[in-house]
Amino acid sequence: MKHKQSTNCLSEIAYKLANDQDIKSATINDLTTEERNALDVLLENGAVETLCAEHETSPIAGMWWLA
Amino acid sequence: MRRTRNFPYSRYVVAGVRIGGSSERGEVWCLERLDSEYRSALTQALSGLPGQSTPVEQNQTGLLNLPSLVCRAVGGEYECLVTISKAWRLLYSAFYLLDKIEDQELSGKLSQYDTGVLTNITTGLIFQAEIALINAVVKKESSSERGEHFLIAFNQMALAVCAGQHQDLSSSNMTLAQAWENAAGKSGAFFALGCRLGAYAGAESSETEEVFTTFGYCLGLLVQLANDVEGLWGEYNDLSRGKVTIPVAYALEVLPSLEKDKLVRYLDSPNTHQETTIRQLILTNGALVYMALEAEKIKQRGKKVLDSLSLNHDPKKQLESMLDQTACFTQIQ
Repeated sequence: MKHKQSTNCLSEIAYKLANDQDIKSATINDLTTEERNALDVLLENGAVETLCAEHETSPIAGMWWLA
Repeated sequence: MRRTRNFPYSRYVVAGVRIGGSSERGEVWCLERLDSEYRSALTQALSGLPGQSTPVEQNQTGLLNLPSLVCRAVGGEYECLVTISKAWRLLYSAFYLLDKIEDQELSGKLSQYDTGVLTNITTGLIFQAEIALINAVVKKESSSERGEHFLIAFNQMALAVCAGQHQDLSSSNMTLAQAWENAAGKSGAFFALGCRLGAYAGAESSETEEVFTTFGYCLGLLVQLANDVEGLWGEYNDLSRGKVTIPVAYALEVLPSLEKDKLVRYLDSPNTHQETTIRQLILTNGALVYMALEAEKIKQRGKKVLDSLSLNHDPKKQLESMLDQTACFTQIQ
């Protein structure tokens, strides 16, 4: 199965991280500073595997936006 | 009739209608020409909403008090803040109710209402908010130009929220880019408006308003992201209704054709039998990773915007904390 080419680098990266595929350095180089920082944060805290796991319930607790 | 410093909107301000004036701080409504029965209906509807039990003057945190927090951050004058905060609460409540009506999610106390009645109540809330804002501007403004600009911007942003909601309700096949446009319109513009209100109340410059408009836009996008993430689960969730939210649009964008077709077929005809499988298809292909990446990016942008201004320490920290909490699904370990 071939991954459809995305116009959004972050969506392409997320898909490849989730499916354990290599991310081209050209893709990384296309990221803005904020996007690169966001990727670093996510990789550093080891969240990828957890975020791709099967969730029975939402990872967000409660309707905080009306708090 | 109060006429203030040649401000053009002063002709709309009738004696006794000012909300939050010194003699009627606790009064929510503009009472002039407000039918008592309709007023009771507005009060009753408002009392059934979350977060409304705490008086504006006492509650200093939370998105319902965004203008107050922003105003304290810029540390400017507070004369019209109570009125501005009440306007925000009314508008917040109106859009909250409209969203519930349009998404057919009326539950609890709201389920007792006919949707037509509730729609008419939300219309009243919006006009009450508008009157409160006009009064706040008249109270504050020495320059009619800035006040006029502010009120026009307010209405334009409110219309952007309506346009975003319209797109959300009327589009069945959305691309990822369109889903982001929706989020920008629905929540980005709305919270940008809330922050702009606070900056207007506390700051003397339009530049500060613009900066906080950007901050609010980031905060609103984070709110929408988290809302969309949460909407993947629960009894009456977005997925069970075949709604294309950002994580769903992401999956439609990145999935290989066979799996994408499966998702498209489900969205055309959602059913409980397949819902769990579809949810796992979306999750295991990185929807939450994508949402977390975007959330982190937006959070950084919001903090950068705050750093561009000289702000009071404690409220600034609270605003930063608001960004952190709203993007909290990035912190899963």
